[in-house]
Amino acid sequence: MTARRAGTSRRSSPLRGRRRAGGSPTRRLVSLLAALALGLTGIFARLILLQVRDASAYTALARDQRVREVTVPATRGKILDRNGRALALSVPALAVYANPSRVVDALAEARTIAADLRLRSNDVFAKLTSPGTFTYLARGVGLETASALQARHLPGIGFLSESRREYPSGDLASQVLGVVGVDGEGLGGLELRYSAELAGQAGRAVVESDPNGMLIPQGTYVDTPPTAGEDLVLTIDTAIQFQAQAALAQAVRQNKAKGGTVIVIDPTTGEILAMTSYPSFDANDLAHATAEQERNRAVTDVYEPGSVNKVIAVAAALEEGTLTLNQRLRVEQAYESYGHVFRDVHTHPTEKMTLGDIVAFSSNVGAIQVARGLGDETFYSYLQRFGLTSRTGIDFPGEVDGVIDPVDQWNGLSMATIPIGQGIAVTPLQMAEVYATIANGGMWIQPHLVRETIRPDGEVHPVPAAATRRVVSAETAGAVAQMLAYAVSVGTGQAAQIAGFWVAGKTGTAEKVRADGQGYGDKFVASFIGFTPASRPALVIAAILDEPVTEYGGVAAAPLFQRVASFALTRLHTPPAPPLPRPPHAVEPD
Amino acid sequence: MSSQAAARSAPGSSPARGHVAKPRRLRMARPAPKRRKFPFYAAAFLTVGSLIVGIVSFQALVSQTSFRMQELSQDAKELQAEHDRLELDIARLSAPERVQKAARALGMVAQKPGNVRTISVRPEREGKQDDLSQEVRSFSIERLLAEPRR
Repeated sequence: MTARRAGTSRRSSPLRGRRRAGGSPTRRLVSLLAALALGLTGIFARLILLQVRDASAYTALARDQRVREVTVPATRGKILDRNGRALALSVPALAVYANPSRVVDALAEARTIAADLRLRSNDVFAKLTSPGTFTYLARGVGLETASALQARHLPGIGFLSESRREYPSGDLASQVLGVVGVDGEGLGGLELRYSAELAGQAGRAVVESDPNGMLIPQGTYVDTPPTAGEDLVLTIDTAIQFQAQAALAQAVRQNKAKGGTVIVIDPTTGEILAMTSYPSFDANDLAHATAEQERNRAVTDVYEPGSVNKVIAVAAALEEGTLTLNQRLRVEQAYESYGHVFRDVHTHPTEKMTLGDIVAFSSNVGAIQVARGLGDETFYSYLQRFGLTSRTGIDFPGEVDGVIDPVDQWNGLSMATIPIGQGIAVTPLQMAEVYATIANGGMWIQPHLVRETIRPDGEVHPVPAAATRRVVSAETAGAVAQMLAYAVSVGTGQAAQIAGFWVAGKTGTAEKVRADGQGYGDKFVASFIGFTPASRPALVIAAILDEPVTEYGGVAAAPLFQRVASFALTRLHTPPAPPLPRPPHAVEPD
Repeated sequence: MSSQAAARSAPGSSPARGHVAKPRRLRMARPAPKRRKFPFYAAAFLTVGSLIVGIVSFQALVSQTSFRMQELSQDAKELQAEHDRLELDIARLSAPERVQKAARALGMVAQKPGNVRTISVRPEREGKQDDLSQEVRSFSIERLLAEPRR
């Protein structure tokens, strides 16, 4: 018994010591409870922070990890010619991108990608080793080309769906159509002018996907489908456009010209059937196109028109009654004004000339006399009425104003230079519109390139009717047409004649201002603008060559007109029309 | 004292009363009727099982339909891409430059200006224009043949 007590005493002794160190059990329990409570309070507080205060942020974070919003691009509308042939259309393509941080063997991958996509391997290698996690390697890659690369499963290389703009006819009407950027936005031409109609509206898709990017079948899916862009139906006729381009290129080569422009207009509607400038460019190969090639110079550039401008003074004189068709003017070989001598190109003694003779033989002296008879104010008002002092308002971006000083800023030489088309600058389209007005019985019609738009549901919307205004009376227009037909029959424009058709038109040979702006040099712009059939005009064609070695409009440009007009007449199944009567004339042709 | 005697002298039958109580007859208690649980379990099992099968089947159907929709959607995209590609092919093949090259390869030559005429025909019957009085446009073969080729 004693021993047991002693033993107990021995065992209990340390216990007592611990009690002394930690306090009583109650206190220990309270302490433990307090610690637990404190811990739970912390956890609870953290829970409140997570579940209440930051709940929305974490919800959004979680949602963003599996739900993504995808923009569904709209299919860009097609551009069609007047007969429904596709001139521009969008096809599915892929953008190839790289995540450089995941590329394993940059050099080998660069070589492979460069070979597949026909890129420079150095450029690809530089992109594959660039910092960051995303870089485009190529845009608008065709599906067939991209599929070979996709099959290789190269690490760090990815693909994104997009579309690519294709111009199936290459350089056909490329300056009119314009181009789009890599993101499908219009950058020039009709692609820019009608970008809103062509682009459509992008759609939106909210999808739920797994970490590998695969869609979760029953996940969230909100879909706002894209609205495809509208198709544009142009007034351009593909065949005439092609022939105009081919004829222009040939004329430039034959005449060793620097460039040229051809415009074909239906004078009764203002529709442009063809419009081209040389040099041109392949719209599918924009990287190699120069700014000069991309410009639609029929609208964006001005030139001094030369003798084709003489019809304005003649029409004004008839309209104002200052001269009649039968009236004869005494025309000398040269005319002096403020120390400058203006001569007729062809040598002739002082002789009597009618308005018909002045137009047919392109007499500078005669045209100056006709304009002086009008007075500068009246003559200027006709320049305005024919549209040379304002833009035509064609539905094409970048149209420029003509350069014609207001009449109150004219000097003594103005009434000598402007009637013969020097000292002013106009666009080829403005000048073509002068002849379209004559061909249309004195009524000016605003030129336009788009006929109608077609909505995705097939609904056709014609463009608003072209603006019109009367410039001269039908009688005046008819009389001027007679003179122009006479000019082609016996005058300077004989090279524009077409077998079986009567042509009316006027040649122009304008001196070009020197590059330094100090007067005129020895370069010329040769032009022929006219219409056919003369008595029932179906076509107005402006043929202009820049710096041809052959210099004269009748030699360089008239054959170009003839070639384009011959084809267009056949193409449009235009029947011949009876000839116009010859205007009164005093000069016997050679 | 035997056990029987002890049982007779049980407190309930006190001998002090002077008579021997007639022993009560014990009736056998009927066991509570056993409720058959099998149908309940079976019904419950069937119900729950049916629900589970139904829900799973429904979900499977939804998933299947969803996958099918994805497949069809993908098919539609591929067909659209094919359509666009064919449309581009047609446009390329009918481009004037290609047609001209193909025609030249076949030995065809471009008609020269003036070799083709379009004439206006206004047929009249008994002095009065009939339904064909509208302008008919056609090639003049006679003139084409009559004119020397230039």
